[in-house]
Order: sequence, then structure tokens, then C-alpha cells
Amino acid sequence: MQIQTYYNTKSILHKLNPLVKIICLVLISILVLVNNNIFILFALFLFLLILNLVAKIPFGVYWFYLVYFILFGIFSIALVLLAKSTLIIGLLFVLRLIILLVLSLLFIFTTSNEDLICALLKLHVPYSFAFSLSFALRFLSLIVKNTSEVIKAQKLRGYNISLAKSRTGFVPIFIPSLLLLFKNAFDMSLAAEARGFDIKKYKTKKLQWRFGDFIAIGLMILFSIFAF
Amino acid sequence: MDAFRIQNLSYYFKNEEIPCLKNITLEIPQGKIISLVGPSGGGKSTFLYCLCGLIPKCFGGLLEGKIKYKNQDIIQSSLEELTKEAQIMFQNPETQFFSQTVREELRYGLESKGLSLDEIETRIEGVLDFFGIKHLEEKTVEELSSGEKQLIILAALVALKPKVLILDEPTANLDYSNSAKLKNLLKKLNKELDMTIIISEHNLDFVKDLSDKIYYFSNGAVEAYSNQFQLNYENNKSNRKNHNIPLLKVENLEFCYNKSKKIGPVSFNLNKGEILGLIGPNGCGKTTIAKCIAGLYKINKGSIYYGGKKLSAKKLLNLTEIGYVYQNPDYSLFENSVLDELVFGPKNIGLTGFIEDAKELLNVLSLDGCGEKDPHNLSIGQKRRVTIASILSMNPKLLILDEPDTGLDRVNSIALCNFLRKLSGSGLSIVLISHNIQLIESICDRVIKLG
Repeated sequence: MQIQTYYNTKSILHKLNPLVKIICLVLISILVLVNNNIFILFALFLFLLILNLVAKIPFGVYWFYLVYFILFGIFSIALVLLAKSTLIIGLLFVLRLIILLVLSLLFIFTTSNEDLICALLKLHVPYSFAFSLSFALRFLSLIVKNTSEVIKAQKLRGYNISLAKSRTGFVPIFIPSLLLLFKNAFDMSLAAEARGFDIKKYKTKKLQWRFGDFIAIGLMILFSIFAF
Repeated sequence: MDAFRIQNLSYYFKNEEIPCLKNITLEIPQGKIISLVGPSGGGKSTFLYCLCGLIPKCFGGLLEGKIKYKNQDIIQSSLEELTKEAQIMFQNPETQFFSQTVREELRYGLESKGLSLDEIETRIEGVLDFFGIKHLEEKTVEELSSGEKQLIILAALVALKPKVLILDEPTANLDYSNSAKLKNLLKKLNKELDMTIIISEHNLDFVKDLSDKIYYFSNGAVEAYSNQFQLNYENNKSNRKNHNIPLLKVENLEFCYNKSKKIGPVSFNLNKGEILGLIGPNGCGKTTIAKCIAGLYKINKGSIYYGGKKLSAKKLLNLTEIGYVYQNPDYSLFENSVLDELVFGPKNIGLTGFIEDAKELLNVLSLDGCGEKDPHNLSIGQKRRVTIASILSMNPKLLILDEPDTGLDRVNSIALCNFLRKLSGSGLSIVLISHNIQLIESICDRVIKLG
């Protein structure tokens, strides 16, 4: 399966002002972290799933990321049970993590690099930080692609993944991936230099405020008041 | 009028005693297409980096001599000034994308130049028309084929309106029809926009009728190209043998990436000791079919028979008799020495007493003396041979090579040919995937065309 960091499905979420999206992201994250009501958290989770449907992003892509978190979730529930605490606290914990993950992924999947830089610069985030973040997002898909190819290449040499339990087991996968990472990063910085990347002159398109943006902000505030 | 004037240029990489470029004096006229050919490690890419100012600014090292663009001293000027005049396209299109969609990628360079928004829009529309890529505008990077990626990068560079365009091995990832398309585009750019174009390339056929002048780089020195440098593949049509012991049979193989993209159905069979060529345009599924045979992908329909038995993907993967060699050696090399690299595979599958064979194997692949070296410090040709050796050491009966000649110069490519012949002589079956028609013609007993 292909891993992408951006899906150009042109939904309502793509057209939202990226500033609004960032504000919503921060608000919902705070809400999730401070709220202890499992029903509200669950409602929020359903809401995110609906948003995902609206954004037309295939559900399958989340599995790739969620698998690790579910493993982590089982582990944390086990830990909570061992500590003789209630199951509810464990569930809350897992639900929080999953919501935060889906939320941030949804943001990344529906916000293009350019929009992200634009919004961050409007928020007076330092240039270098905004650009590093956008490069990192582009880089993510390269890393995933490289690592999966490395794993396949080593499998063909008879390397058994379950050997990875031993102390040095990861080396055959880790070293080529890391070397490729450095190489790609160098190539990319060279390409950026050669294209005449000049931060000071950087000019972005204007952020448009549409009617929908205000509705989104209004809904968000209403929801926060209700949830608190 | 001369665009570039280079006088007594020498360059030493950081911490290196031997110069990479030796005393080069060259004049590159304005509005012409110039090509650089020659063996790998001959200094072509280094020379290109010097022209666009990346050396010594991004690499360090010691540069002697003068490079002038018109009356501007390149060594003294800043990179921002230089990028107004010259733009370079690197070999790997993947690492030159900074944005996720095509339109944003085109816009990216223009925005970082600080142009007005109207100007940006008109320029983007201009290149979209010029390159005929209007239909790709909204696609994301992951949805593009490698040929398309290269085209988009070229378009993004042309949108910046440089006067000089520098291309570092542009056809390395392209099939025949895409190369022809690129050739026409370069001609058009040169004629209509009066661009000076400088190309470094292994593929002589690509540059021959395109360029106004060809230079030959070898060991850091340059001379005008003449036919005496041309090396041809040896043709073995006369030695072609009939092989009739069947080994592998692929029947109606189909593979679906998603609902809209599908490969196949494909059927073919392979006999023992045979070299089979697999050719076809970019994205027609050559690599995918090879990976299906190696058991890396599950096929959706059809069946693969090996040695008379029908095998599933899992069984194929565990079958060490089928070896698949990745195109990029960086995917698999990780040990400290070449010998360790060769021993890794056999150790995993429980073959012992291998060290003696390893030395012989190194000999066959003309890697003798490299046994103790770090594989990451070898040249690209040697690295690729080490990857092939690391698979061969597991005693496969069938070897699948995925574009083994990419990035190799003629000398290395011919060496590859010779040892593949030697291997098939000893009873190994080989499936060879390549864009290089000459290589395929010279070595394969049979060719299958896909797509």
C-alpha cells in the first residue's frame, strides 16, 4: 500500500482556511487532554470519523499508524490493571491517544505544504521552523517507502523479521534505512540550494476567509463550551 | 558568444589528495546543447556542480582556476544570484520535490524568488502549456510515474526562466519513449527559449543527434569526443542455445494495485540456463511481476509454477532458489566488509562452509581484492556486483535482475554482460529487466515485451 502525507481530494476540509484548521486542532487537543468524560470523548471520536468521511480519505491508511498505538493501548490497559486502577481510566487514556492521532493525521492529510507554511508564517512562527516542518512532512513518505523496500530486500536474503528480538537483530534494516535517510536529506538540501531557496524573499498566496471558515470557528467554540 | 568560460579548473574534494578535476579549460557557447560523456567517476557531475556554483559552496574542498559566466565570476557570486542564470536537475527526481502536489511544486520555486502573485500564475500556466502537463496539475507526488516526476521537475526549473539548464543523467530512469519525449522537449527549449543546455549522460544514443558538441570526461580530464571512445556490446546471436528443461511457468498472472490500476494478465515460461529479457515502458509492471515471482507481492489471479509445482507467495519468498536483486544497492548493504555481506544470506538460511565459495564468487564478479573493504565506499558498479554476489551466495537456480545497468557506464555494463553470460553457462536461469535495448539484444536468449 502507498503511504501518502497528503490526499488531494478537494473536500470542504481542504478549502478551509489553514489558520482555522490550526485553531481547531489546538482547541480539540486541549479539550481531549483536560476532559474526563468518556461519552464526550467518544462523541468526539465519532465526529472525527464523520469528518474523515467528508474529507474522502480512505480509512485503511489509518491502520498503518494505528496498529502501533493499539499495541501500546493494550500494553497500557494491562499496566492499569496491574496497578489495580479502574479500567475506565485505561480506556480514557487509549481513547485520548487515538483521538489525538486521528486528529493530527486528518490535519496533515488535508493540509498542503503551502497552506501549512502560509498559516505558520501568519502566526509569526520563525521561518526556519515552518520550512523544516514542511520538509519533514514531505520526507516522511520517502522514509516509509525506503524502509519498506529495505525490509523486502533483506527478506530476500533470508533475513527473518522475528530475529529482530535479539539485540542486534534490527541492524540489517536499521543501517541501510539510516544511510538512505542521510543521503536523501543531503540530495534534497542540495536541490533546495540549487533552486535558489531564499527565505527572506518568500512570498505566499493570500489566505482567503470564506463564509464556511466562520461557521467552523463558531461551531468549534459552541462545542468547546458544551464540552466544558 | 560564450556563456561559460572555464580556465585551468582543478578541484580537490575535502580530505582528498587526488584532484577530481584536472586543469580543465573549456568554452561553452551561448544557446547550444553540450553533452558530457565518459565513465563513472570521471568528473562529469563534479564539473556540472562547479558550473552552477554548488562547488565549492555546498561541498567545501579546494577549487583552483576560473569559471566565468558571461562576465560574472561564479566562484565569487552568491548562489541566489547564480540561480537566476542557471538551474540544475539532479538524477533522482524523488528528492527534488518539496511540495505534495504538482501545481504547488511549480509554484514553490517562484514563491521563494519573491515574484508577484499574478506573475506566478501566468508563469505556471505558461509551463503547463509548454510541457503539455495540464492533466497532471492536481496530482500528488505519489501518484506520478518516474517519467512524469522528471518532467514536472524540469517544468518547475523552466518556470524560473533560467538561461542555462544543466541536467545530470536525465535518462537514467526513463524508458525509450520517455527519453524520446525528453529529447524533443530539450530541442524545443533550446530553439524557442534560446536556452543553453548542458547534459551529462551515459546513454550515447540519447545525446548523439541532440547535442551540438560532445565532450569526453575521463579521470578528471576533458577532450573532444570522437568515435574511438565508443564501446559496443559483444553480440552473441551465434552462440544462442536452445534450452528445453522447463524451470518456471507463469500463467495468466494478474496484479491489482487498486481498483483502477491493474497489471496483466501475463504468461510466460522460462527454461533452465536461459536468459530472458523483460522490457516495456515505465510503469508497465516489469518490477511488479518480478517481485511477484520472488514472492514479495501476492498475485490476485493466475498462478506461478516453479519446478512443476504451483507455489503461493509465502512459499516463493521462502524458496531460496529464486533470487531477486534490487536495483538500488543501498537497500540491502549494511555490513562492514564485502565478505560479511556475502556470508549474511547463507547464514540466514543455514548454509555452512561457505567462505571458500565466497572467494571464488568474488573472482567471478571481478571483485577480487575487495573482500575486506567497506561496501559503502565502493563505486556504484562494484556495489551493484556486491548485491548480486550477496544473492548468488545463497545458491539460487533463478536470478532476477532489476535494471542492473542503471547508472553504469559502458565499461561496467559490458563487464556485467560478460559475467552474466558466464553464470548462465553454469546452468543459472536469469530474468533481466532493463530499458537498455542494446544490452538486452546482446545477451538475452529470448525477450518478452510487456504493455
